[in-house]
Amino acid sequence: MIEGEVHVGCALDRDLVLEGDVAIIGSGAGGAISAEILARAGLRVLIVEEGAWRDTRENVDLREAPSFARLYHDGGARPTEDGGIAVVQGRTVGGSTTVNWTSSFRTPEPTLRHWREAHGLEGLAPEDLAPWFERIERRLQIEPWSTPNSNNALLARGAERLGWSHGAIRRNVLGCANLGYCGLGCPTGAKQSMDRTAIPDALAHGAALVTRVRAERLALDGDRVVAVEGVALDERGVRPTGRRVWLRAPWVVVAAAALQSPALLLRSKLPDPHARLGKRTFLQTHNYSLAFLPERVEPFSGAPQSVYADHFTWRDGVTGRAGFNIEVAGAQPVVSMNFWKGVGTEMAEFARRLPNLHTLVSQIRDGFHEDSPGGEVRLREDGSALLDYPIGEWLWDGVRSSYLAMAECQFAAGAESVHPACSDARAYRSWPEARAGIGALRLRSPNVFLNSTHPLGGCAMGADPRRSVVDAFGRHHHVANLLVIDGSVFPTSLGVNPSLSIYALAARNATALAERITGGGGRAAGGPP
Amino acid sequence: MRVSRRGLLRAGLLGSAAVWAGAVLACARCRSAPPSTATPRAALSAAGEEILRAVIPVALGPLLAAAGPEREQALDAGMLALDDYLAHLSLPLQAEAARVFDTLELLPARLLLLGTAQRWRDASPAAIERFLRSARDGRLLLLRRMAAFLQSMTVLAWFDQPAAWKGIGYPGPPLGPWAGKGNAA
Repeated sequence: MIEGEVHVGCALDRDLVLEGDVAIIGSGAGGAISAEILARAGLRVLIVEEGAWRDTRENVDLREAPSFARLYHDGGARPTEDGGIAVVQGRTVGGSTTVNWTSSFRTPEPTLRHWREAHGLEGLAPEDLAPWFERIERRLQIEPWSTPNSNNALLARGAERLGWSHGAIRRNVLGCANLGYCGLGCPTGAKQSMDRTAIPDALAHGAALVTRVRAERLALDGDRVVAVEGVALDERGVRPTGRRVWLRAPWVVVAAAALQSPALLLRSKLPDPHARLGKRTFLQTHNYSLAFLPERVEPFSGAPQSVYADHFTWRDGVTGRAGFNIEVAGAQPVVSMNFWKGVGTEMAEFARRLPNLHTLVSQIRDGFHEDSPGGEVRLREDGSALLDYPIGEWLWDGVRSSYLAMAECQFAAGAESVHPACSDARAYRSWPEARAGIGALRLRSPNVFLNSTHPLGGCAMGADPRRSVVDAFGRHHHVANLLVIDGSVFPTSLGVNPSLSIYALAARNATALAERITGGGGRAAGGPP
Repeated sequence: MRVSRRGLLRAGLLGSAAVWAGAVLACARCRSAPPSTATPRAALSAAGEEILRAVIPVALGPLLAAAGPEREQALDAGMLALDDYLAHLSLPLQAEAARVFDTLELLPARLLLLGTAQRWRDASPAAIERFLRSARDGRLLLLRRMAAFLQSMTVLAWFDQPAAWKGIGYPGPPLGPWAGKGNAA
């Protein structure tokens, strides 16, 4: 069990009221880093998390379905409104950091430049953020991974032969046993996820953690939040138990991630005079290409992501046609058999070659092109988040061009056949055949398998309150004591896996908040209250 | 019947199947009596269980044992796993899943999709396979979504079972303890 003051929502036998200096909603990348910094500044931090605390080292069975059910929102497959894309988000202490594949990238320079030019964001240049990246890289043991598994080595081989820019991914692990089950929560505790780093550290510095409680509403008095109102959930985290929780603190940090953070602000009916809340929600949509190699690949084994190819990420300009990076997808049976919907004998023939399966994923960065405005978070009748993310021609173009690129790479790496993860596609035996086939392929939902582990935006930061929800320090434009510190503040997607960008921005913005509250010295250091 | 694309897109997770079915028939009395299940489920409806027990062997083809005790055992384990998975979904998604199963169970849906008035459990595997393929490959988004949903349920029910792994060359997860295998600890 985790050490410190932990209140378990499903076990509450009465309502709970906690008071502190800062209330934080969410224990993922943004919330946990904020909690650690604020608690270390001597502040009493209250963290509320919808998921449960789990010691992932106890998940000895490493079965996919029960892990997805327990560690993710909606089993790791929350559909967008038209069912075209499945959104994958962690729902557990540590949020998505507990279940991610540890791929750590600094925010790309073209992204930061675009934010300054198109969204008026100052103070976020690479040199401004470098100290924060360095701090997090030290804190979370972020180092390049130099021993890729076969699945990743094949990406490197294909990229090498085609002359594409590629490199080794940095990972936040310490003592990684290279098993490949990151997505089910690290079974050895090597992953430096928030449940094993910043959350325990915050608790050691006097923070309180409330699990299995969903923040339902921020209670407002004038231009200030006066309380966070939560409902305790049952053991599955599905039905309210009837117990309620109130967090009272002069400062409130919303860190519930894209979809949840804008939904909470919408439910709370916070001022939103320019109707920005929930808008510009981005997915960096992932599509997949499957190949069979003559040799064994064992895509289910070894660190799932350790090589990236960024040849196509910025090729057509920052605001041009859809750009995408290419990485590898770790593929245990449930994940790998969901990519392509064969029936009967064709399914069996596909499944039996799992050991020789090679799985590439491309992540199509959205939010830079004028035809890529992202989706919109709205509320269902029960108040939960529903993302309307229409798939337009701009995105289908990105899907087709990334299918082509991935197929070319897989043939270059020695594939016998390549199979886009699309139920309307057949297997192609050569690159010329794939080029013609993919060029003519009908692209439609849900036969094109699309998902996103990188939902971002919806509470965009920006200099102009008419176009954004918070400023570059996460401070809400209209509510004096409210900040948003998570992936929902990004005004576009990133072009890389987002965890390190969220950690670093959280470190910067939580440090600024701590200085604001304590006057710079911190209470523990004897500064003014 | 003409259904506009936007109308279907607007209709929720799996296309508010109940609304669509209501438009076809609006006749709740045509529904067959729900089958009785031995085990009470937390989230998987009786209709869902009956449909999936019929669909899964067809979707998996030769991966699953021939009809007999081994297959029944695999299906029992699959239903348990699916019930657990569905029971952790948010309530709106649980409701959508239940609506899809309710719709598929309606007599007009069976007539239209399977070409028979028979219950799912009595339908021929050939009819179910035809349905899965034509729904997946067809023009109607709603049917494509139903096919994808049933196949995702199939994948969750089967490929997480140790009984499935030998046939697909998956050695299963590594067994602990893992201590001492680290890169730098």
